[in-house]
Amino acid sequence: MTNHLTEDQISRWFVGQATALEQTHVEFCSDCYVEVHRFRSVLDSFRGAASTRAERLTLKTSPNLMQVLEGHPWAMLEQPSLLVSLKRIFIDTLYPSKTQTAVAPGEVREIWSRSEFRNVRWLSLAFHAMVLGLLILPSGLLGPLPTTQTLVSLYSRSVPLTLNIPSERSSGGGGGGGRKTLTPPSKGVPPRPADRQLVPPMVETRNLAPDLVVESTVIAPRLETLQAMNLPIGDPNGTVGPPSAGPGEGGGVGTGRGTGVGPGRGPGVGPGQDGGFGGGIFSVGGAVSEPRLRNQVPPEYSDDARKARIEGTVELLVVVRPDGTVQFDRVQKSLGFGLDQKAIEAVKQWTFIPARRDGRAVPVWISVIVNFSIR
Amino acid sequence: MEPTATAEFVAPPVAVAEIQDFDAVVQRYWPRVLRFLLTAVNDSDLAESLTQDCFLKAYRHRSSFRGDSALNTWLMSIAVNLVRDHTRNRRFQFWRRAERMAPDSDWAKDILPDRTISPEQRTLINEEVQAVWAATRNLSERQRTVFLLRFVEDFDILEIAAATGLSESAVNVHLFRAVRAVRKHVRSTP
Repeated sequence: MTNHLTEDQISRWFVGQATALEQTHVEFCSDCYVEVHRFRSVLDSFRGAASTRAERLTLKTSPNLMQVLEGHPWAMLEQPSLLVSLKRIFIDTLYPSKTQTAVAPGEVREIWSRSEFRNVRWLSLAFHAMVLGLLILPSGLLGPLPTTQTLVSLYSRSVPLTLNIPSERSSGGGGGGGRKTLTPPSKGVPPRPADRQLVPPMVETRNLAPDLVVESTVIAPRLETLQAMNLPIGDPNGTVGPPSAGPGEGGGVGTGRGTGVGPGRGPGVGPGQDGGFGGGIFSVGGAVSEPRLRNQVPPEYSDDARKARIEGTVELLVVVRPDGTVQFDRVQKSLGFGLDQKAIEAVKQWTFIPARRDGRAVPVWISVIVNFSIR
Repeated sequence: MEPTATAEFVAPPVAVAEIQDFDAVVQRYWPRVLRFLLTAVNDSDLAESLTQDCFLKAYRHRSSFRGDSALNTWLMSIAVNLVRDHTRNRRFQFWRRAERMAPDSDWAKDILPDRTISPEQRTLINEEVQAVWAATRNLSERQRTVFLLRFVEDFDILEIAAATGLSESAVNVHLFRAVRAVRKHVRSTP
């Protein structure tokens, strides 16, 4: 066989119908061999491409039976063929079922009667009580919580408030004044405190073009807390209105006597006499008696502090008001873990027999030390 | 002669036992059915949908599977019927014929993920595969099915006959004509 294989012969070779002679020719003729195997490799590539794509799609969807049956719940049911169905009908007719399925009026229990409902209601009540009890009970079952041991120390705040060593009768300074006006003293700030007073406080400037300007002052300790504010001079407890020096006498502002501000006597500010700051919140000592605790509420431990087993003391600065209640001012020594807040909450509920000065209840500063300890 | 009693455990055919665990059947044969359908129809979405239909049908009629043929062949016969139904249904949807002209995506990325071949070879192979794919589009439905079962699914003549319901000689004739047409198309492609 000298000629190469025809196209039909090659196609027949691929189908597997080549004769023995044709197969031998492919083995020995290099041209035909190359031709056959080239087409074979093309078909292999085609097959490989299809396989790769199919595998990739399969990996993406990862099919399973549930996915196949998805949306076809009826596929789960075996559908009996027509013959089987007919056979079942035939058998059912010939051999009827022994089970009675006749319909007859039956006794129906009254379920909406009142007594039944009441029972259910009691049951519901009992159930709810049980749930509530279960909610409350665990705290009781867990045993006593760590109790707090509170130690309260009251002591006076040591701020030098007086210029002179106070006597038993006249601790706390003060001042007063006024120009015998009919109107009450106007609201304002006292003038700058100083060691000496050249000019008493004036609510109105009488001389608008003075030759020598002298600042009006009151005699009082110069405390950092008193900021010079750009406000008219007047009585801090005065009334808002036109400038008025008040019905007092002596040249100051207020209802008292002297060159100061307020209802007292002297060149200071506030009630009292002989200069300095009178009134306001007092400190214990001298003529101011100390407040006595009347009712004490123990502070609670916070959950965080109990878990962390924190112990220590919290120091609070509070004011005992004349009515005996407590006004919180600030925390002087913090402990954290929510214990500060717990201490404040408790101390705010305390009541005192208020401090007294000259027979009158006055507000005083006290420090309270609350001791938290786990027993 | 004394009577002897023999007892023999007749195992069900392997294929019948295999179909009991249909979940495993799905996982094992899904890629093969999908591969055939990918080459038989136009787009991958349709191929996946037909694959699902194929397994759904197989599941519903699994009790009628007697194990006369291999499970693979049985599944493929379902797939072949599905493709036939599909092409028959869409024969009237002439506007879809435009799709036939363009494969839904490039086959190149699916060909031989092998880094040893050069880009030129890769391009050449891609063109050849495209040519084969385009050639199968021009075949008749039977020729295409026979061709794909033979060269993509690697079925022999008997299996193709079982899957398509054709006689052996008919399969031979269809296959011969398909190969001749595809070769002609591939050779004519520059």
